[in-house]
Amino acid sequence: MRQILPAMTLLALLLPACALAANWAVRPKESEIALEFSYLGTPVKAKFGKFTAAIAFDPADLAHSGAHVRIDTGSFDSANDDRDEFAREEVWFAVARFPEARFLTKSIRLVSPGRYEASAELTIRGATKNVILPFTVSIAEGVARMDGALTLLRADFGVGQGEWASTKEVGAAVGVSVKVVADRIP
Amino acid sequence: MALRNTKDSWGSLAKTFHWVIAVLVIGMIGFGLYVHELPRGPIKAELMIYHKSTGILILALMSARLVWRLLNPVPVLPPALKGWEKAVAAATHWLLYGVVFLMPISGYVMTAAANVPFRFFQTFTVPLIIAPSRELFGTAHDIHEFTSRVLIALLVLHIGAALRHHFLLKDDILRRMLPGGGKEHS
Repeated sequence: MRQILPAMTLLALLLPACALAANWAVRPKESEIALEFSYLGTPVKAKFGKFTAAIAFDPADLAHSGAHVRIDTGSFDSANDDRDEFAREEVWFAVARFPEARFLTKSIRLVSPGRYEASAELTIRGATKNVILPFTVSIAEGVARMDGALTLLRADFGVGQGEWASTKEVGAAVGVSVKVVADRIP
Repeated sequence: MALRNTKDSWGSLAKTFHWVIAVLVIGMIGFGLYVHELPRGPIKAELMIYHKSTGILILALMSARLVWRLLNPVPVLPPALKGWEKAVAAATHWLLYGVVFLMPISGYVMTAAANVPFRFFQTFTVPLIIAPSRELFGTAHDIHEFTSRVLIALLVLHIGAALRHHFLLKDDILRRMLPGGGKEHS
């Protein structure tokens, strides 16, 4: 019992997270998680090339809508092999220990027609934080287009350790913009 | 001293270009080789800004210098020089012009291709008009590295020739490029 009980508690905790009835299939090539950070006072664009998302979305049923996004942190791409390799090291994303970043929505609310706000738990480098992602969705002919953006503080997740914790070189704030194109699963 | 060149000596503006660029270029070679060997870190990142900024400064100075050179008479070489010596002198000088242009241009392409924007001496962001590209970065990097070796070889030849003229041939080739030097003062 002593072993089963924690196991069951864990299962019970995991269940709601798995209970997402995904009804949208993401088009990977048209979808994007883009980043913008400042390096020595100038903006630099990057992206995560690989991520998967289970999405349940129904504008008429936001209570059962949500998204579970898993981002391959090793797919950080700033168009610079040297820097991308460095980003995977322990002081940045520590990909060896944390190969995945997770974005799990807790609730979605309507702000105005077509505009929403997702309250979500974001886990990067093992640190979890509650975040709000404002986004828009338009659905036409079975294709959904979603756009959202938020700003994160990299220190909240320990991204940039040691000498790189200083914000003099790499700025404190990181802009994240998300674009998803998905097909309705019949 | 006259601003413009004469057929016997360099004018003060040409001399200023020559010596200012000489100091910058020789400094840049040493500084560039030093920074290149530094371990990755904030110090290297910051110092690279000064390497890149000085490169842009040299490019601007060289552009102005080239225009000035084309608008002015070029002091003639001593008649005692053999034809091949004059040809080597002319070739070295134009190669030096070409290489001193190619260094900052290939450096600029490297920076743009590597997606590492920078601010000119921490003032304004230098516009990068070339899209990031790993392939282009590799090519530009190879050109930058190879050209630096050619530049070092040309400088050895150029300085060696100036000293030969001064100490062995005892003509006024070196003197007419020195501040205050030249025929009109002798």
